Amino acid sequence: MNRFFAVFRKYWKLYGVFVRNSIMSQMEYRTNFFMSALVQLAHMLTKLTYVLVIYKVDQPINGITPDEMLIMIGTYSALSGVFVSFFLFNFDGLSGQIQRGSLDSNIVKPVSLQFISTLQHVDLAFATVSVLAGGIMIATGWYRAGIAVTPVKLLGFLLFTISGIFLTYSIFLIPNILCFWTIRSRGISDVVGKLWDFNNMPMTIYSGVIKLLGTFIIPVFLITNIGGLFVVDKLEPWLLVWSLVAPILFFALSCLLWKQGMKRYVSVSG
Amino acid sequence: MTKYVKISTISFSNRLEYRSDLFFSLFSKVFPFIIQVYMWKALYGGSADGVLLNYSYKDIMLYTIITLFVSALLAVDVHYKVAGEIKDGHLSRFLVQPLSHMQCKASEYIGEKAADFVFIALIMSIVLVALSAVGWLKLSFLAVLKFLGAMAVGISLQFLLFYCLSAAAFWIGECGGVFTAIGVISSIISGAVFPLDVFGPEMLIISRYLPFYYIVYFPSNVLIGRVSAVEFWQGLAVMAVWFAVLMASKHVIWKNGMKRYIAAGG
Repeated sequence: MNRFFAVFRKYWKLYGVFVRNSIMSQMEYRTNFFMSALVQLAHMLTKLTYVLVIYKVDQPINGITPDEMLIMIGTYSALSGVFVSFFLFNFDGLSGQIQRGSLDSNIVKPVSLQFISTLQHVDLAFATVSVLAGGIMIATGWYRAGIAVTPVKLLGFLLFTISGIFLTYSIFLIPNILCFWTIRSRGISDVVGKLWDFNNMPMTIYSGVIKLLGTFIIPVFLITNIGGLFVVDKLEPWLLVWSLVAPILFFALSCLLWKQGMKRYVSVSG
Repeated sequence: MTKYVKISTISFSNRLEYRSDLFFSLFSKVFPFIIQVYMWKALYGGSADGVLLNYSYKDIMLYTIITLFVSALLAVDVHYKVAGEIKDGHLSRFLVQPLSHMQCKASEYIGEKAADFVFIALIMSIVLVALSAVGWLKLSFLAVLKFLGAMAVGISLQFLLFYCLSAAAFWIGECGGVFTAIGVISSIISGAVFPLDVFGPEMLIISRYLPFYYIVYFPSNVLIGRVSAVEFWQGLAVMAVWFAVLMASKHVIWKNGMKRYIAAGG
């Protein structure tokens, strides 16, 4: 157990260095930071149009009121920026690194190759805007729905949200790992990336194949809905268990695929 | 004139060569469409009279389906291309060639849109015939003709708007962020995400004075049959005014922008 914490501390510290380096490099090009924030702000507007329509109609969908939906849409909005800031740029660059053989420089470092290759770059502009806007939505929905702010609810919401971020990493990394076999996996990544947008609306509106796909096969619904469902007391026990098991299962799968993929890595020009 | 026709022809062939791009651009619009289908299905499921925001389920679905095709036809990337030319100095070659830069870009755009039209019109025709067969849409030759007319002017407005916008690259080095932000906002206020009137009558009144209204919302409603004959001609007149305004703006913006052009890297 002590060894686990020691490793965790080491990687946590290393991640802090990555974040610090990224901020320093971004501050050299401040205009880019504001441009990224502007893009995220525009995307937030699209999400807000859905909120506006829901409030205009003002009726519950499958037992979830507009205020309760706002908590879930707010979580989705906040995590959209987190996804872009912490994961997307790293994942998008992976295919290029494999093509150019530039993973070589990371292989020789005394840390996990998967860790360094998939988490090295951070662009905080997206997360700053989305966490702020999403946070306001969550707080507004929470307040308007008249839900008591208790330590259990707050902690539960945070736990499920963090677990969602953990799951995001694995779900969206897996299609990119396929580059080891296909060199280019843009098409698959784009399609999986588009599935993320299904969280624009709470998972309770979906049914049939989409619900099955988004809950079990590519469980994007577990990322942004579980915290909200827990807060509004509408989280079914099986979903609670699955939402805690899935991140571990998918993380293990991503590690396994990464290891298999590395066996096919050819240092083309490195 | 022949040289511009040739540019259009080359652009048409190039676009057909990269069919997967078109397929993915259409496919990427299918996901938001599915989300909206589920959203409306769930919302109308709880509605007592089957009418929400002045739309019946059939009407809102019809609008969602038609805007899927209209916005696919309107996809534009001229601003990214031109901004790249300005930034990298490739604009210089247009200064020495006997070509008008805008007409050249317009010819490329026409060629690409013609190729897109072949595919989209084919799929759209099948969908429209199916919608007509189930009684959701009253198709007439006149309605299709009016729609095609409105679309042609709408596509021109879209091109001019983003061509004017591309000149931002004379002043801002990296304008990808600005383009993306404006593209997203433009899709909301043009009615590509939701019909403009669901946001309230004020939004509809304001948007009537903006060119975006005439790019997605207007042509879509022309086909659906929610635009009367008088409104159609009024709409076309406003579009003509916007066309003239944008042409004049393009002239002023580009004239001033060219004074800042340094042909870096050209």
